[in-house]
Amino acid sequence: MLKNKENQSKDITRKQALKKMGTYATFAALGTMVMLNPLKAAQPSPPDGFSGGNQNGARGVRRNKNKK
Amino acid sequence: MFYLWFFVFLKLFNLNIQAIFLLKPIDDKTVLWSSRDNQYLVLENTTALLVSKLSKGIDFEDISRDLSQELSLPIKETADFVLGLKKRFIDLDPTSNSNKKESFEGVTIPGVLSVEKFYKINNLIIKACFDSQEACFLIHPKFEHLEVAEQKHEFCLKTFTQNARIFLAVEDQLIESWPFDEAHFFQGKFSMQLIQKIHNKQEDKWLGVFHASAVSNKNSAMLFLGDSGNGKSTSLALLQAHGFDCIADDFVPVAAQNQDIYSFPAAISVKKTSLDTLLPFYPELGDSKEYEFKVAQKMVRYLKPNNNDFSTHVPCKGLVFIKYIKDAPLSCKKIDKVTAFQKLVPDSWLSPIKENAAIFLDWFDSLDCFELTYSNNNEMVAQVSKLFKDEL
Repeated sequence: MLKNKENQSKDITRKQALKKMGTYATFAALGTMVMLNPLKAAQPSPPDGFSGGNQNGARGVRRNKNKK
Repeated sequence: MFYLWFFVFLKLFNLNIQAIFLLKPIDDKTVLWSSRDNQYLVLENTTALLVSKLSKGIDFEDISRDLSQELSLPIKETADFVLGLKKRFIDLDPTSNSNKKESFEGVTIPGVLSVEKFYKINNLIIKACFDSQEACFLIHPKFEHLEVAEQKHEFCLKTFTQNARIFLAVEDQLIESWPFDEAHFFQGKFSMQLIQKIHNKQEDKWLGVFHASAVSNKNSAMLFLGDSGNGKSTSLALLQAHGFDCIADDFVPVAAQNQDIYSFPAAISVKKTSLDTLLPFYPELGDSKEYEFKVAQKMVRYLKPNNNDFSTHVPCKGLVFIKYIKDAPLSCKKIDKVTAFQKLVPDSWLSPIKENAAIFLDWFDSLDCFELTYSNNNEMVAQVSKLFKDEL
């Protein structure tokens, strides 16, 4: 009998449950944060490889004669 | 006497905390900037208020109790949360971000280097020396249109490699060095040195440098942003063919003092995929050099900007996140600032100086942000003209 009463006191209505869910959702949202890190240094795009001067600098450069 | 010292300690401690970060409401969120790591965080307004209270030295138990009452939640849960914020934002070691200056011990600047180039930017003659053709290739293609014959120069930039690093020296003063796989940082620093000389502003006078294209109607400029391949440079080339001015491509500096967009003299990079679109306007592209970037797997030609006055600077009218999608109908709409902020920051260099960060946040808040999707070039040009005339 006593146990039954205890169980009853823990029950909540649907409305109360929804309210509680809403509260927890609000609370959970407070912890949501977006971290944004800017670039460590200014840089152009696109970075291409560099081997330290071992390759010919004119990599793939060609003069086009009206060719696409 | 003890209380007086305690009060002074609290005051100093508070000032110290407040020096660590800035808070700026943007739309329905708050942006927090931390000087410790030059990091921006987008927070809920309530969370930002809690951080603000913590920063003013209000006891975390009092803050937790207020939050518990406000949300009708057990104090244990709110206390855990507030304590987490305190650890994350307040209990910081302010000295942990001290940047160590690079030591150049044992590094000697070579006297004569094998490749020499001279560039004329406005009335400034710049000499750039490289110890290999490959090092020259990192810089020269974008500035070839400015090349002049050997002559008396105002300053000299030297690029050389030693100990598996690439070094930059200006006027025989070592500036910085990078490992070979960070050559893009070298390219960025070289460009920074150029804007410092062209516009007579040291690095601390710049708010940031944006990975964008800047187009001007002579009174103001729009920044075109977006991932690589979205048509930033192609749009810029098309717009300059329709009467607009090119202020900068790929590297857009903004000054802290007036928040103007400043000219950068590099050529516009044109990918092979954009040639058909641009050849009718720029027949010279058909006969220009083509550079192969093997790592990025693309072929690029360079188009001279139409603006010859590289001292130009104009205020920014807005940000346009541009996207070329084949066969897509034209769409241009205002986007919320929080979304724009999240796209902008990770792709930009932003000054780590607190005063500049505060100016950046105010400047960004004052701008309109748009998203422009297009497939038809004429429609895109007409739409950008409307944006300049506030006719969205």
